[in-house]
Amino acid sequence: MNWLAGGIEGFDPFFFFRRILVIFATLYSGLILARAGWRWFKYLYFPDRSRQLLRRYLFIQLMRVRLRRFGGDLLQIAGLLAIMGLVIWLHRFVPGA
Amino acid sequence: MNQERIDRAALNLDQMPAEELRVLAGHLMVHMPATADRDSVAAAVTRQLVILDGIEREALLDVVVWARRPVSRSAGKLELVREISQLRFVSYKGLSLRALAALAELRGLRVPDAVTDRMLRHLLYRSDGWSGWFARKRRALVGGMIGKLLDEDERDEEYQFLPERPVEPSLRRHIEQQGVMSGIATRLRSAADDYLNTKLDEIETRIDRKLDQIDQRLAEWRDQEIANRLRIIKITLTASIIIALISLVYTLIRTNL
Repeated sequence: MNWLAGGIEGFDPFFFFRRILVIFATLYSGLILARAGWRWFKYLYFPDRSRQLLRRYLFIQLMRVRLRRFGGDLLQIAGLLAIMGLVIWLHRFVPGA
Repeated sequence: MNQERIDRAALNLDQMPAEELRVLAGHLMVHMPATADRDSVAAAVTRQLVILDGIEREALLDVVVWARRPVSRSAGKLELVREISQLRFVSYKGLSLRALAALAELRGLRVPDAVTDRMLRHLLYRSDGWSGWFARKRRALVGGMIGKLLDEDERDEEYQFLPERPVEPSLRRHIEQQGVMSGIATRLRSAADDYLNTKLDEIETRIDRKLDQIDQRLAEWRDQEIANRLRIIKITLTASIIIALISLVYTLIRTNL
C-alpha cells in the first residue's frame, strides 16, 4: 500500500488524503463528463429531422464562438497551469515528495 | 463591351449624410479610416466610381456568379459591387481573367497591360497579406471539416440568378387586350397580388428579425455558459495549486524534522 499512503517512513495521513483526493476527483469528473457526453450524444444523434437541425445549429453556434472574447480567461488558465506545473516540478527537489 | 456609367446625380453625393456616405464607401470597397472627414470620404467614393465606370458589368457579374451571391441577371454595377464587397480572403480559383482584373482594380491595385490570371491571383493574394493567407487557410480547413460533417452532397448546385421583377402593362393595354371588365379585373388582381406580396415580405422581414433576436440571445447564453465553465476550470486549478503547495510545504517540513 506504499503507493497509496507511503511517505519516507511508512504510512502518512496527508499522502493518503492527497492520493485519495486525486483518485476520487479524477474518477468523479471523468464519470460526470462521460455521462453528460453520452446523454448529449444520444439526444443529438437521434435519427429525426428536428434533431438533425438542432445538431447543425449547435455545431454552427459552436463554430461562431469568438475565442478573443474569452482571451483574458484563457490567459489566466494558462497562467494557472504554468504555476501548477512549476509547483509539481518543485516536488522533484524535495526528497520523499 | 458594356461599360455602363453610374448615375452620379441619382446618388446625390453632395447632399448625402456623412453616415450614409461611409456605408456607400464600404459597399464600393473604399476603406477609409474612422477619423477621415466627410470630404475625403466623398473624394474617395468619387474616385472609386470613376474606376467602376471603367469596369465591364459582365466582369463584375462573373465575380458575383463565381462567389454565388444572390443577384438578378440585370443587376446594376452598384448592386454587384455591393455583393463583391462582402467577399473577403477568398481563394480566387476559378475566376475569369476579366473578373480577376475587375477585383484588382476595385481594390486599387495597378493592373499591368499584359497580364495573366496567375499573375492577377498572385497580386490579389499579396494584397490580402499574411492575415488574409491565414484566414483563407483557416476557412478552407474549417469549411472542409464542416462540409464533411454536415453536408451530405458536397457538389455545388448550378448557380441561378434571382428572378427579374416582371414589367406590368398599363391599364389601357389590359383593357385593349382583354376588354373593360376583364382588363380591370386583371389589374385589380395584380394590385391585390402586389399588396399581398408586400405584406408577405413584411411578415418575412419581421420573422427574420425575430429569428435574429433569438439567435442573438442564444449566442449570449452560449457565451455566458462558456464563461461559467471557464470560471469553474479556474477555481479547480486554483484549488489544485493550493493542494500542491500544501503538499510541497508539508513534505519540506516533514523531511527537515
